[in-house]
Amino acid sequence: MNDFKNFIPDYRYAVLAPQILLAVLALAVLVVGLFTDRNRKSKLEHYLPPDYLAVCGLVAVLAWQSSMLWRSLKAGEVVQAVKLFPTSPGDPLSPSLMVMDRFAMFFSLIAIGGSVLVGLLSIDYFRKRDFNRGEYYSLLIFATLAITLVAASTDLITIYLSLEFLSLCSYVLAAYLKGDRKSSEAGLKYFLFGAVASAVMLYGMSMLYGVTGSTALSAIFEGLRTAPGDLAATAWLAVVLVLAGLGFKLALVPFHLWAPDTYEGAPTPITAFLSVCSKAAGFAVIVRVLDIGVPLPQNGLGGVDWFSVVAALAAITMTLGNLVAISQRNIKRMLAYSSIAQVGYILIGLLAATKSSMGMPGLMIYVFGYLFMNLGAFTVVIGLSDKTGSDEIESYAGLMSRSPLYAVTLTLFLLSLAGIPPTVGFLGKFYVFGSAIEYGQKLWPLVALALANSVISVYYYFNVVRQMFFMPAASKDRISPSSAIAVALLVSLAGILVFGIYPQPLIDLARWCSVVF
Amino acid sequence: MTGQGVAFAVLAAITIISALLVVTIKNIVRSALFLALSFVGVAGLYILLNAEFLAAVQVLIYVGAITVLMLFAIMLTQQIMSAKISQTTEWFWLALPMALAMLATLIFFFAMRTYPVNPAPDALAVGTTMPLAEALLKPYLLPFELASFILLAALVGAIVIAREEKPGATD
Repeated sequence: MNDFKNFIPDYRYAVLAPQILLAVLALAVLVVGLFTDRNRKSKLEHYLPPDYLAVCGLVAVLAWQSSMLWRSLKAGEVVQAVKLFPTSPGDPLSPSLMVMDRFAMFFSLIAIGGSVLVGLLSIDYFRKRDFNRGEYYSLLIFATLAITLVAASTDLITIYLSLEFLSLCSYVLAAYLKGDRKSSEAGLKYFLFGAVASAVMLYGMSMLYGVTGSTALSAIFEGLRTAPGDLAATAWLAVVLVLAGLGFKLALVPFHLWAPDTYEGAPTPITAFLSVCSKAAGFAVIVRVLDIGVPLPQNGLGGVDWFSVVAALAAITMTLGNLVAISQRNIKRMLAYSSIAQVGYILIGLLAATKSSMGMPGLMIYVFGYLFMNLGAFTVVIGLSDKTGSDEIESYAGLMSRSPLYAVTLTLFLLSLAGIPPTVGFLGKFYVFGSAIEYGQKLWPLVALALANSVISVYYYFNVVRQMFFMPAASKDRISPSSAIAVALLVSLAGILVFGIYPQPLIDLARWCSVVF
Repeated sequence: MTGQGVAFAVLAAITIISALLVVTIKNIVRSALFLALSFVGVAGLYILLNAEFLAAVQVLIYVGAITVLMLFAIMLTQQIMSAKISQTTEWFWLALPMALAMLATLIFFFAMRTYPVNPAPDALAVGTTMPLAEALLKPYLLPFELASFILLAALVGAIVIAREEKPGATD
């Protein structure tokens, strides 16, 4: 019995409450969906429709998670991180499978907040199309759960399992429009690339285990520090293979081939989810793995030089993403390539964080702002294609005269994506590029390239603006958003403007949450 | 060569050759059967590593359940059993050198090294089943539970994708 006590949750495991609530919510939505999707006129559908249950539940979990982060911040420096599931129970110093620190809570907030918005966008989309809503929302919540778990994982086993959990849900969600060839293609492509990427990553992880004898990131860090010379090359290859798997999740350039087709074919709310929440998960993992798992060689101690690998990936990712985005005629594809390019910028923050204290907060501010601006842009895309039935950029001609609300808000979201003040996009770029300049001359070429790329991106973002304001409209019908879309639109708009004009709370939050354990 | 070395060579050969046949042979039923043989080879490798419980699970689940399930799926699909399906495309000759280059890189970086070895407890005396169970249900409880959620999500997803939609049935 005493033995039992050593590992059975004590009060510390209360920090997992949001995860437990998400799991319960997903199961509840699944069960409710079983009854309501059969009979759309049932009483249950009237009082407890699965889509509203999912969105309201997610809002409740979001509130809980925010209050947890708030309490952790108020507790000051004392309780910064809670170690969960130690690998050898009874030894408090042994590495643990998860660490619930503020960094993890910050990314959980992004994931849950993102899926609240995605849930709102999905309501009309799936009511119109008559698909299995219960399964859809429960898979969406499962995917969110996976992101919150992966953000807190500090062991290769939990990282791999949570990422696989996220991927499996995403494959199904991308292929959710049955009978739609493009959606099936989106799911199949995502699945095939994802299976290969996860096999490659697993291979890299097994090599890391071989070199260091442990799956815990902190032990891997120590192991790589002291690895003998002939294993250093093996460790390098292992890290590159792991980066390839994570690069797939982030759609970094040599591993991005699935992204445009999947983004175009998937149901648009899921495209938004993949481009924001799924990428937030990728960032949380890449930061944790590289920051606390893989040391850079310095002062004669061993390590793996991932700096130049990530720098090269960032450079080609932002350049290729931007150049290909110029020629896109479909707005979903354009946003897909633009989101590839954005990841390239954000990675600069990771590089700068190795020396500059503003690098990590910069990365987190950028990801946080990116949630609102990208989801906002997709909100307009969903609202419009719902009415016009088209995702072509040409169909946006004269939007100003048909729907001033959509035209003005989309312009603001695109301004934010281009990084123009007073939006949160400017703040993110300012901190990421600023921290890279602070880092030193080594990163200056990359910053110059990023600035040049930002100028290119203005061109294709403003092409959409030009269509909306200066081209004649094809029809005079007014377009107005439904209530769910309007709520999502206003939340995103408030996100980019409030934090763009009054950034101090966001900067403080990112700074407090930027210590990774 | 020691007896262990011979056993390893034989098992590795079985695993690799049958794995190659899985991805090259044109008849899908034979392909599935060779997959089972490859799994058996892997189970043998586990036994060689003193992981007898893992070997038993490998045979029970991979050979016994998964391959049989695949065979059922093949037999229930019309006109696929006797069809000759080419597993290669026109990209084959481009992909082959790249795959071989990857193999050479992996062998060079991965195989020709000496790794630190954790001194294992005398596995033959203790057995690995008990420690494995302890590990799964004590420190690794979270991954264990997580795996059950992954299976649930996969199950739901498979049903959603495979289920035939009946138009009008929802009204």
